[in-house]
Amino acid sequence: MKRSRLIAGITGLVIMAAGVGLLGYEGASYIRDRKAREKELEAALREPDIRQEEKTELLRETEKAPEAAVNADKEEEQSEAPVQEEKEPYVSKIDFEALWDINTDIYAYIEIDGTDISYPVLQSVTNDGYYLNHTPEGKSGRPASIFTLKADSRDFTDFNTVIYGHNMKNGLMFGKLKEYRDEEYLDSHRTIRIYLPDRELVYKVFAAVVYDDRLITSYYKNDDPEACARYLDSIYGNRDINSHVLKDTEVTEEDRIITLSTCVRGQMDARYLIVAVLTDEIT
Amino acid sequence: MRSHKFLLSAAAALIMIAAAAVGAMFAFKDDQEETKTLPGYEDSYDSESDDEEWDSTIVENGVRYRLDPDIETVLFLGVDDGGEKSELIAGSGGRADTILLLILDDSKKSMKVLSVSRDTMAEVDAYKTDGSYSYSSLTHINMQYAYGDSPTRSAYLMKKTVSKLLYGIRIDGFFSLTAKGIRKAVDLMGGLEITMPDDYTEIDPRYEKGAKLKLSGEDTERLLRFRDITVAGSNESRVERHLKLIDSVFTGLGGRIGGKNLKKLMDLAGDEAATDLDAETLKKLSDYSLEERMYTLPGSVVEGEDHDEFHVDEEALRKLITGLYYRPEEE
Repeated sequence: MKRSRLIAGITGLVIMAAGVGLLGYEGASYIRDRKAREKELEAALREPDIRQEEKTELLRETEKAPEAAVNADKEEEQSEAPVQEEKEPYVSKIDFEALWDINTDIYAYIEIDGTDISYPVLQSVTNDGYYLNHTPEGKSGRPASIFTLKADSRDFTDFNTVIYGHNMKNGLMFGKLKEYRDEEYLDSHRTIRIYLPDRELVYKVFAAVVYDDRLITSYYKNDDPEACARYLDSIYGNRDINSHVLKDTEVTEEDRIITLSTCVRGQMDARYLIVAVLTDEIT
Repeated sequence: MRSHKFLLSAAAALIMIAAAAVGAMFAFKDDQEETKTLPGYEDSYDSESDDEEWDSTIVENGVRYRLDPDIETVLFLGVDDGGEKSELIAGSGGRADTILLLILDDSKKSMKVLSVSRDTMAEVDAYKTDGSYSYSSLTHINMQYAYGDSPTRSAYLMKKTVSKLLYGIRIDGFFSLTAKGIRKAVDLMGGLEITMPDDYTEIDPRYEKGAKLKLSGEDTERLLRFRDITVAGSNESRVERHLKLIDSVFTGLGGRIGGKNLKKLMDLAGDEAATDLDAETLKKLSDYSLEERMYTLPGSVVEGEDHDEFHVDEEALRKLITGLYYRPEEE
């Protein structure tokens, strides 16, 4: 009798301990997430004037449109703005308002036609490396975010805007970019779209190259045309067996390009770059 | 009895607190990661894609190919130093006029020869006399040899430049010979027994196709140095003629010194020969069966200002390289 009571007692204790442990974990997680979120908001509000001004300006523009911006389903086709004598104000297919509610560091949106790559693009006001290890919601670790560095302007008017993302095992973020190693895939996936609140930028992929890990934004400064030309030379002159550069589009330092940059498995000093040139601007 | 119960309760409470603490610890463990600054990604190694090594696989039309691990590549350079060598002037170290890639298959014990025309336009790195890098320019690939201050350094520069031209294939070693070195070797052997592979009567009326001759060192050097201008523009046939000639010369040399023993030849040539190959690999070059077909770089000749320029057909070259070095992956 005494023995069975002891067993019952210990079992009960173990169950209770597990329960309390779980409670402890959940409680601490909650506190941690809240702290992260607070930090996030703090960073976002650090320069309240600029952001507020930006936000108000953009709000005014979108307010002109009679309908609210529609949150497009990825499967739904994008409807084109009708051509009229009086140009209708541009309505982005991306609901930036909803994105800004999550994080005001989101300033653009990227999609590659024919792929599942569809992500907001972020830029930290203070810390270039922040979105290398944080999602837009502030969760630390992988898969993190698609982001650019402070050196590149947020309106894509620079010669080259470098966009970073992790090469995820599960294919998320820029995990699928390595499919461009196959020239056949490159030939059939040439279009990248960058959505901004007031326009859509359409880019044509012309190069997929294995590159080194130099920091492109500081090595090839956008305000130096000679440096821009040298960057293009380095792309065109790339002779890695896994690189492909298509010659059907002539690109010079007078053009505007984007460079998607991700890691190369097994080569710490290498990066895989997808380079595309601006072909259309839809406003 | 009372104290007994109290002890039990206290123990239970302690266990509860400990459990709660452990749970909380697990929650904070996730936050241990440091924020890396670019160009970081150092910690990304674990979670990064499971994909294989990029430098040994390629993908073409949905098919994956792996680099054949049994293949070794040796670069052979036939050097024309033009007689005078000046160490004081950069770019005066001679030219690599014969550039051959000897592709050894260790499993098949066979050897393929891929010839690179000396007029091939490639990115050549110019160096200053102190050895520091100066600039790069598109010029004849044989010029790369000139920027070394020793045969070994020149060969090293050629290795890099040729490798880059061929989409980064690994070149495992080299051996180089000057025409002067062959003259030396021939004279030491007492003459070269050769069957003329083609008509070379423009050099000497004796040199008819098929003629069996014994050449002196000087004659051999003159024959190898001969710039074949008769077949103008048709770079391929000119290259093939030259390759056949070299093969004949080597056969002649090999025959005399016992089974194409290249090491012996190198020793005879002395300073006029250089290599970084070990004896084992040198022996492979002699022992492996040579494939009949000579491969050349695909491309076309364009008349340049002073010299002809050979422009590589990139697409065809890529196909050639992947065909020579990569095999479909078998899962």
